[in-house]
Amino acid sequence: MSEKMVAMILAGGKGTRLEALTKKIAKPAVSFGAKYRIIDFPLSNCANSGIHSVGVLMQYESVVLDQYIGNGEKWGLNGARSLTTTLTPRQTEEGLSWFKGTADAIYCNIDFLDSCDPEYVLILSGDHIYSTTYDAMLKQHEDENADCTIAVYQVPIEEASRFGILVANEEKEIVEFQEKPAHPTSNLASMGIYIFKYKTLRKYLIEDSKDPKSSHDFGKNIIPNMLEDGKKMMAYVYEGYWKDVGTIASLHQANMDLLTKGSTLEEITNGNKIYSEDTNSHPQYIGEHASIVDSLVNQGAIILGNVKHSVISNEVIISEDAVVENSVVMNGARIKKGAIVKNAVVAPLSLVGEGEEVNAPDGEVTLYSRRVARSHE
Amino acid sequence: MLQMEKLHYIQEGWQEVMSKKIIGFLDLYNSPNLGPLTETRTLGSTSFLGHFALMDFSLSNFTNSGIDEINILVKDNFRSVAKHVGSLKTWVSNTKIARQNILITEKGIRNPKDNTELECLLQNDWVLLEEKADIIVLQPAHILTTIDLREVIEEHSENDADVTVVYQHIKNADETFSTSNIVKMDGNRVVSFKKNTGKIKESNVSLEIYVIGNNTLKNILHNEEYMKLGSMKKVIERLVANKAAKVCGHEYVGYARCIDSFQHFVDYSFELLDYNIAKDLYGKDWPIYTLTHNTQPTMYGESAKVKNSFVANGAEVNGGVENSIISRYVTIGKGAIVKNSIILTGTYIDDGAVISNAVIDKYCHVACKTHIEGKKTSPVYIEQGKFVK
Repeated sequence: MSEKMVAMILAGGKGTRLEALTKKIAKPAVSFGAKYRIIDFPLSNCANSGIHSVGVLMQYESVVLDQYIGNGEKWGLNGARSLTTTLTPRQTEEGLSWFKGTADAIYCNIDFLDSCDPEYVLILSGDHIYSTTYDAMLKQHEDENADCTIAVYQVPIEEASRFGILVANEEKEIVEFQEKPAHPTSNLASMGIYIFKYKTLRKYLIEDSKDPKSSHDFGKNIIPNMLEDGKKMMAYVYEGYWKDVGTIASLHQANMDLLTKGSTLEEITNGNKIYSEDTNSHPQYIGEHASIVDSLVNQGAIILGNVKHSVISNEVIISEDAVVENSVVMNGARIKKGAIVKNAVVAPLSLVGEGEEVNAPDGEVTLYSRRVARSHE
Repeated sequence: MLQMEKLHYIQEGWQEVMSKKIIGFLDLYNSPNLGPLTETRTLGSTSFLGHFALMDFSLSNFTNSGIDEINILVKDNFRSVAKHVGSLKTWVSNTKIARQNILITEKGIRNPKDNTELECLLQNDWVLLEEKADIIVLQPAHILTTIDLREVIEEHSENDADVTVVYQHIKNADETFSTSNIVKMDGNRVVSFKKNTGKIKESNVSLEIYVIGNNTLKNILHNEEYMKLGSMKKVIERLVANKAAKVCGHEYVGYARCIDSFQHFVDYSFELLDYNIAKDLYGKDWPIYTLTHNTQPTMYGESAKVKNSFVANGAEVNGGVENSIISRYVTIGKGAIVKNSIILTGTYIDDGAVISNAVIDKYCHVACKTHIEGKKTSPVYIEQGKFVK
């Protein structure tokens, strides 16, 4: 049965700027918001948009991510009419090769797309935090009979030179694409979310694969090539919370944003649920001498110390007299008695020892990562 | 014995035990009445610690003991069981090989007199026949314990017993386990199995976990006299009294509590706020599986003041919470105070409300500045869906 729209999620990046957090796992598998992993957001968005078939493209440290994606059950994408599959580089008749770029990753899986026979393909990034459905974007794409629709986010013009910028006319038709321009003439930043007519995309991917000079990238090659050929390219202006969590600071900030009213969490609470793994945890326990304010805490956490303006994952133990402020403490981390953790991201399973201080000056964020096997404690 | 040898010995023992076909039954027929709490739901599907349903513990005992054939014998309030367990896949290792069934007796629906535990087993004996069961394990939902059933099954086999009863030695049988039987032992044999009359303090009480050989079960189910007794407990009483079968005992010394009344439900819930007690119930190597709800993490506001409490995901706390249990999707408004209370799923406690020693059932709304105060020895109960002002 042919599908109307298939989603392909690009989840192969290394995420070097997340330092120790992505040493052994791919960036989309990094913990977020006490309970989630980053990739829960695009996958839940797909589920909430009624998309049945999702391919997750992975390359760097794919084992944990692959295991996490499984058959898509966590997002309900394993029903009778659903299909979730992880797509990694593979050995073929032509030999073995890595994905050379975002476009190449899709090109290498044209056979998968062909088997789904979709009318449209939705290309997503596996490392963005936002909660939405793609319904309105698809509707605009169909109404305009566009070849490609690109979601854009309005950024302050002074920051525009950090992004891929699209220049659009009054009808939202894209007339120019500028990759990190020194002197931007528009503030519409590409979010790396594309809807293509599959037939058109297929043709461009095949052509691009034959171009030895190409870096096989959507932003650098496919989009400019289509623009040059005069294809109908539309901008879809996205409004709402959206964050690219590429650095420790932005990951920390996105977590802190959950504590602000009117933030993503409110969208999650009031509208589109974000699906994730529900761990087989104990009930969350807040101790006799604990204090906890302005924080988000997952099941399985044990809080005996003082927590303020922080995001605490499952199986975290914060002991007596410990202080955690303005921080993100990831799953299984332990903060021992009297320790002080401020303005920090504490990596999963890390141990902050008794009386130890992890403290970045205000306005800065530090990553703390020290994994200690439990039996060695 | 060297550690490795010992390990090998244990593993071999397990293999022998587990090569037998074992079928587990969670038996909801003997659940005590918890008053208004169990009016529209079974005791097994009653919320516990804001996170579990009571039956999760027995079901997880099957799972963690490697028993994949899980059946639930349901007497009434079928809806609440079906809602919680769904297809039962949460509690099995291999979803293809394992079998799970929720069992009722159609005969019992037509005539309530026939709605007995034994009739339900007989009506559903296809489960036993189809799977060619060797051993049957029955567990109740109202006795909270985490027991490795493999140890009981092994002892049952070693003793070549017809029935093995799990018991515990306690010092307050006059106050607890009121619905259980008193077990008297001679060596490994049960020599007396009689109702707890509440007159003795120190004794062995039955945890109502029974391991039964298939032939013994067949004999019971095809004996009219036994069938008239209706419950396995009464049949075992008879078997012991008449020395009609080899009934052995297995002593369990870990955590076990019998939820035989509304007050005990409340007391045992609060008791688990003490981690030293809780760790005996849900230790690290014994996960308790439950239905998942995709709820967001708990949100604590600027004015939250929480002490010594369990708080479930999906809850939003802006007020004070002390010695309490807060379930999913409960909202506690600013300036509200909740003390020594259990608040069930979806209840809304508005700003400034004061609640102490209360159990508030699901989907209630307690209006601004309303006071609900009970006594520790007799907590107030507010029924599901009430608007209290």
